[in-house]
Amino acid sequence: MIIQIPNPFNYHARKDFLPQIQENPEDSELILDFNGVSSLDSAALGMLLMAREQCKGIKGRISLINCNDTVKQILTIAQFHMLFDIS
Amino acid sequence: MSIRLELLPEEYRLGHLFIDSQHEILFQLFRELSEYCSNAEYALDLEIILGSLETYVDSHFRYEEGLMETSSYKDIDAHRELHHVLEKQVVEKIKKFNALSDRDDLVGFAREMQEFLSKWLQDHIAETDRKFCHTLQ
Ligand SMILES: [Fe+2]
Repeated sequence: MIIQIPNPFNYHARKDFLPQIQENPEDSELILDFNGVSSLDSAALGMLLMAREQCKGIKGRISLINCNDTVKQILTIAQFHMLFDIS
Repeated sequence: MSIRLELLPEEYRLGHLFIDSQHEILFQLFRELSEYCSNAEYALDLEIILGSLETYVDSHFRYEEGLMETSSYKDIDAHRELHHVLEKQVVEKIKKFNALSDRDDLVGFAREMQEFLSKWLQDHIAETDRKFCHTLQ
């Protein structure tokens, strides 16, 4: 399943984002598309961790695609490159 | 580039971009736990919150330890031991959580976890991590 991440990605997105994650079919990969996303805050980073946890329960994998340089830098500061496939 | 420190209290800010940002994320997860305590019905699954915490505590500790290694921090062994103790405590708490049934008091458990974490954030960040960050300046 592919989910388009809203811009900006912040605390307000959680109401829509987290239920979407739960819809990901069992054992399937979840792709989060960051195309058009120029910023994300610490609440969004927390949500990504919870999304990862949600997928772990269903043996899924989670990838973050189309991340621009700013987004990639933020993910690196958070050490998320150790936890997610990022491209 | 930086991550805005929205929840991290002033006295916990150590002036290190990576470490402060990672602590901020721990505070975000702490907020989820608090939300669970105040309104469990609408909050995320406690299991998800606890799992996220366990995962991120591990990533964050490994980052700090890597930095201690490259900067030849003299108290690395003691700091690493503290990390180890904390991680063991988190694992114990999660074990306890897994043994609970739906009829048990989940909010009570979440409150206990909240207390444990808030004490930990205070002792560890404001004191132990501060000592280390001082040596980086
Ligand atoms: Fe720390």
